[in-house]
Amino acid sequence: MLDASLRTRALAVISSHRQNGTIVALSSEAIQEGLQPGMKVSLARKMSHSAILLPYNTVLYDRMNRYLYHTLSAFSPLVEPASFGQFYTDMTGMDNIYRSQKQAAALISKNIQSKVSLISQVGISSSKLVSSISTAVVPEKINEVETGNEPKFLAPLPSELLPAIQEKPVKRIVDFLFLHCIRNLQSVVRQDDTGRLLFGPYYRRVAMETQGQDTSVVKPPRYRNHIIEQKVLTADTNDETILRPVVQHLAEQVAFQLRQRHQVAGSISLEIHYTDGFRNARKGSVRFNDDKTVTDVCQDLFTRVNYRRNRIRSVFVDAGRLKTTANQLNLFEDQQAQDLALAAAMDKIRSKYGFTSVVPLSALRA
Amino acid sequence: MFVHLNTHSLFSRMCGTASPRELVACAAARGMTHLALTEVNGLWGFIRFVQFAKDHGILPIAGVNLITASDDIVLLAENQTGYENLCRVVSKVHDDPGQGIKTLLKHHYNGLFVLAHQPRTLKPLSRFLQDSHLFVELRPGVTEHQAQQLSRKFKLEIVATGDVYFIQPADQKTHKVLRAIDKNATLSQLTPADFKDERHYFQTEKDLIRQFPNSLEALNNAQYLAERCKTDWNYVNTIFPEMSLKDTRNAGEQLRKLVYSGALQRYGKITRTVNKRIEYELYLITHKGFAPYFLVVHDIVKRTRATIGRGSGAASIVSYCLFITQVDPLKYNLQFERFIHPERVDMPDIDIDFPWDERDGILDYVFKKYGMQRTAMVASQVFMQPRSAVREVGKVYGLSNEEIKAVTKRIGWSRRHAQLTEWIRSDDRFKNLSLDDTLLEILEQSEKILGAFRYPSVHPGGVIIVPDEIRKYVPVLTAPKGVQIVEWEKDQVEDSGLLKIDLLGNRSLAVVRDALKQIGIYNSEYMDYHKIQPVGDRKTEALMKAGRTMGIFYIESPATRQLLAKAGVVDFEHVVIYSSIIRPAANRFTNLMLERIHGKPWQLPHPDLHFLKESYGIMVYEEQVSMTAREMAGFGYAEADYLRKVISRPSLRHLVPHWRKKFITGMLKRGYKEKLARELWDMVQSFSGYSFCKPHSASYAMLSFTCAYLKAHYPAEFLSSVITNQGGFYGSYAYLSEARRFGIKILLPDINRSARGFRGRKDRLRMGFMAIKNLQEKTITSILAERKAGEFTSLNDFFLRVELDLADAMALTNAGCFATLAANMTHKEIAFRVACLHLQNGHGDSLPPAANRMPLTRAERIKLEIESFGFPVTEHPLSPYLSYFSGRIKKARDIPRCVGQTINLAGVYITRKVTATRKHEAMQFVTFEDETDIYECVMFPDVFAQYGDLLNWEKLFILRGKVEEAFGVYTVTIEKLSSLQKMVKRLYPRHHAEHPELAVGTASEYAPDEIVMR
Repeated sequence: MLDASLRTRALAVISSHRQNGTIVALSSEAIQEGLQPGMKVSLARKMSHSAILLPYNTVLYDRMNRYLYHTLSAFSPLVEPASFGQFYTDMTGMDNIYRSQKQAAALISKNIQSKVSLISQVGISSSKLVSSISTAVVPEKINEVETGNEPKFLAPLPSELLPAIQEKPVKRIVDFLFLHCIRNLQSVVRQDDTGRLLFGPYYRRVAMETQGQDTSVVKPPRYRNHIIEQKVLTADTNDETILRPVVQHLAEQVAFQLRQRHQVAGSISLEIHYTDGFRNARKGSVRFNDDKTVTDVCQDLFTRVNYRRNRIRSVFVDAGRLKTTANQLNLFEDQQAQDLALAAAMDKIRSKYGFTSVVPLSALRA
Repeated sequence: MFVHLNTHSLFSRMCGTASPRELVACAAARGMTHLALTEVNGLWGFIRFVQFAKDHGILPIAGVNLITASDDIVLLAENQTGYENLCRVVSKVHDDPGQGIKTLLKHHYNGLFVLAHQPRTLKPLSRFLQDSHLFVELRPGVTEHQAQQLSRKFKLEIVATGDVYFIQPADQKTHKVLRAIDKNATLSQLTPADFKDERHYFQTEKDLIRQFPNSLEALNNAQYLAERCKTDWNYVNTIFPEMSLKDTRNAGEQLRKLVYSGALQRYGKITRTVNKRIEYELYLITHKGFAPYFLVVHDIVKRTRATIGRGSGAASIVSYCLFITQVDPLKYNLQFERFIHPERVDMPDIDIDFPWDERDGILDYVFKKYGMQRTAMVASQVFMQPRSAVREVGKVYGLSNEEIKAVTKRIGWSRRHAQLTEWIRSDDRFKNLSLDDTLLEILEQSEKILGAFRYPSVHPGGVIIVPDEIRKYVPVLTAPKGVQIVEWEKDQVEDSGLLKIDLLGNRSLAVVRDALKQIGIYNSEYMDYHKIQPVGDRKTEALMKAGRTMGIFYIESPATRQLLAKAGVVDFEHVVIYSSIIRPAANRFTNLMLERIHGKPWQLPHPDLHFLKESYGIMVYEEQVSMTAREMAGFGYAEADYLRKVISRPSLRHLVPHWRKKFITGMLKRGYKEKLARELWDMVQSFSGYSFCKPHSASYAMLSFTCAYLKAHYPAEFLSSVITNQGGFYGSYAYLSEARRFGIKILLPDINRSARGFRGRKDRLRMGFMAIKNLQEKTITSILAERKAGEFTSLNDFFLRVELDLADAMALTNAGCFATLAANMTHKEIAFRVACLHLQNGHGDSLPPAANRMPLTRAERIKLEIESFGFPVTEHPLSPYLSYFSGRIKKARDIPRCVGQTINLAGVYITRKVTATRKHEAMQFVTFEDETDIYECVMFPDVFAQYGDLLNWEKLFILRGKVEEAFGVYTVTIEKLSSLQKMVKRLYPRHHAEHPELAVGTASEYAPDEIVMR
């Protein structure tokens, strides 16, 4: 908490101060005053005169996130950022340094609180899934679920905490059979044949999750196979003269990072979030990492993805299946060589003066 | 003087922004002599245009802007042949919009002037059109140079047009909004080809000279061409199959035979009075050549047993004896002259109601008999109304459905506000709405597009039959439903002289039919619809006197139920009066009549108004308006009839001041006092919006009595039929509650016992499969088909015999359909078995682990019922909450004992009506019910301003109000209103958290007022 005076006050993080800006996040005090995420700023002002509306500050959140990452990196070499403010750390082999996992967790918590005044929740277990659920449901700041106790820990909790339950076919069966508690699910999947029959291809995943088993490993950012860029618009809009430059800007950011990593994206996905909560995404691929190629693909994806007229709140570009670029020019086309040369020249400027030092004219118009 | 030969009104679908009246007024203001209305591919508003043009002294020209995939031309009618060809060409475009201009015009160019501006269009046309009928069009977007090049190349003259789409350049934004709505796009997604630029406004001659300085001759040519077009439009003759003298005589003979044979069935024996009336009517009918028309209608009516005639036709004994109408005009003193009088030259309308689900079959018969070439249905022209305008413009500006609903839900269905923005800014019901800049712009644009023509649909029942070819009178098209319709709606059809027969679908007739069928099943004898004698039945009258008329045709709205109860007199004659006087503008007169019924002394406003005696000195029927105009103001038959039309038709509202003056002057001339004239005009004005003639009301009242008879004697069979036919004012929840009040037990759907619809038998009412949300129609059909081979004996048997989706299996299970099939199993066990059986194609006998076999909790049961039906069935929606208020709230049945007291009540919202006080402040009548009874409430403006909005979002309420009584009927004047769930949460936060059933059925999931069925 940068400003201690805001503690216990009704706080709302908003997309912009404009009339049709919206609430992005809320403190519990603000929720009590009747504010809700997605509510228009004008209505929020009308409803709660005491609520403090803070504009969305990506730079600040990014800086804090990076700071947290560095703090955690001091405790373990394997730290994986999950989302803003959420991390997994692999403490395997740290027994000689810290007396116990709990002691390490206490140190991490203390460190974060003393430096950035943020209260942290730490969940300790042998799987990422149980740790994550633990931080969400257990009120204690530090909670350890001992190996082998995972099923027992999960049993009384609601089934919807398991990621597999979010799959529509699974959710449908769970609701129909009143399996609203993980305990009920555990008893069903224990009968192998029945479980297989009910959940079909999802059976194995459901069975593992009900037992708290998660075989995924903690991946540091350098091993992550994704580059994600997003933009929450300052005001919800369906005006393409504003939206297209935003897409272009995101595409250029992704292309810039691809070039830094000497990679191309086997899959690139563009996702838009509408003001009514509806999301839509389309996937494509890029064979080169110059700005023009990536921008063209993203603009095409945007045309295909934005078939609704509803106003858009945020745009995401997610480049995945990254692979090293062959760096072979097309000998039959001059244009591509020119595009790559132009991108290289822009990168030099951006590396020296910052990414926004070169902005397309259309972005300025918007 | 230049005249516009290419103008588009708001009848050009989602392009034009000006009404035909505005275009005509604009032309008149600029001193133009002629005006051609050339809508895009249609003559949608041509009859209106002709009427407005005549009012403004402008000569109207018929034209069309024909736009196909490759061409864009203007066609103008030179003469009647040209007009007929215009209709044929437009019909051909409707048939296949992909046809080229050459194909379209090749056989239909006689009498048409053609204006084109593209070389690819002019080339083929110049091969078969004479240069006296083909011109190069110089319009905004075409340069003078281009036009002159084309003129030289094809040796044609140039005619300048304005290609008008809006009145002012500033209206172009509205035009763009319309285009975006049409293209399902946002404003920024429109390309220049999608809309017209600012130059397409109604330019003056000076503006056009400035635009085309080197083409003065082209501008003059517009005037010269206009003078060669047909402008003498006359629609006085009715277009009906002509017959030879011999055929007409034979038709008369045939009609006479049918009438006398019907009279014997109706009356048993033909008395002198009956004979005299029949002869009088037959004389007028045959004398005027209407006999074939009656034979056509009789032929149509023969297709079914259950019909009622609406409109003035019910005053005819001939119609009664032909079984077209069901009310004896002699017994109820219905005047034949309202239908056909000696001066009437046009064909009278006979409107007939059929059971709604039989009507399509009747229409098929008509089309088959008279052929597509001669028959078409009347269109219903759908225009932008406030709700749809805000919804569509909101979408263009990117508002979400919820944001749009926040405005439209408050507007109401029937709202017609031209000053939309101002109304929303100032009206109390919008006070919680946050009006930001975007919303204000949306409202401003919505206001501008009000009245824009969206699309044609099929009129509920109007059929046109012509003697030869329908396409020569009016363009026709095929509606999405597959029927052939004309471009005009009923008023334009009527004004153009085309003969229209209204064959309307009526759900209450189907209700009567189905109820009789159900009664017949266990009585082993079917009652004949024509032989029910409801008038004078004591049980029926008692039911009506108590106002317990929910589900009964035409008299079930809260206002009519209260009127019946307040009046306390429910004989046939009075019910006919009530059916007529319940209309929006007649509130004042309703109260006056109630006082008079209850004995307040009264006298006629003037002795000459003796014909008002039957209705307590108050004008109730349309014919009383006409008679007043004739007797007091000296109007002729035709004038008096037209006055009635002017008052009741919104499209003729602009003529009211003229007729008011005429009426008052007429009375003054005849020596009556001005005060009396104004008093009578007030009564005449109470007929604005809609009103009925006595025969129509009598006809409807007869069906009301039949329904009331069935409800009084067979409530389960009757109410189940009402729900099945979705035929009422209320949602299915309200009718099921009404059934409970009649001591009927509601049974959940059952896989072996339920039908598609609801079924009633004595004191039981079984819900049908149609009540189950998300259950597919094909599954219902296959269950019913398979059940013919025998009942299902077990769950395994069901899944072996019926193929269905998992979603349907779940819906059936959650609705409790398998409960009797597996009586020894809990719901959870059944669900588990169903899931396994479905996934194993009907094999296996799995049971869930012991932990999952518990019976449903109360909360789970209520939740399932709400999910399945939209409301709880096995208990009243209020019951989970009542224990929290025991002793602190009264029940609806206690209301009569609390007159003058302020009490608390809990209630489920049933229906409401928003209205306005004399000071134009919004107020509301609301109907609620609890587990004991239904009750009526009123919210006066200050309370409405504070709480009215709640009714948009909540369904369960707690209210505080004062009980008042008038004429023995009780209403609660609401002082405070709150959501019941929120009140419990506020008073007992801990209980609320511990009892999940209290959180079940929040406003968003809860839909007691929705008819769930398909």
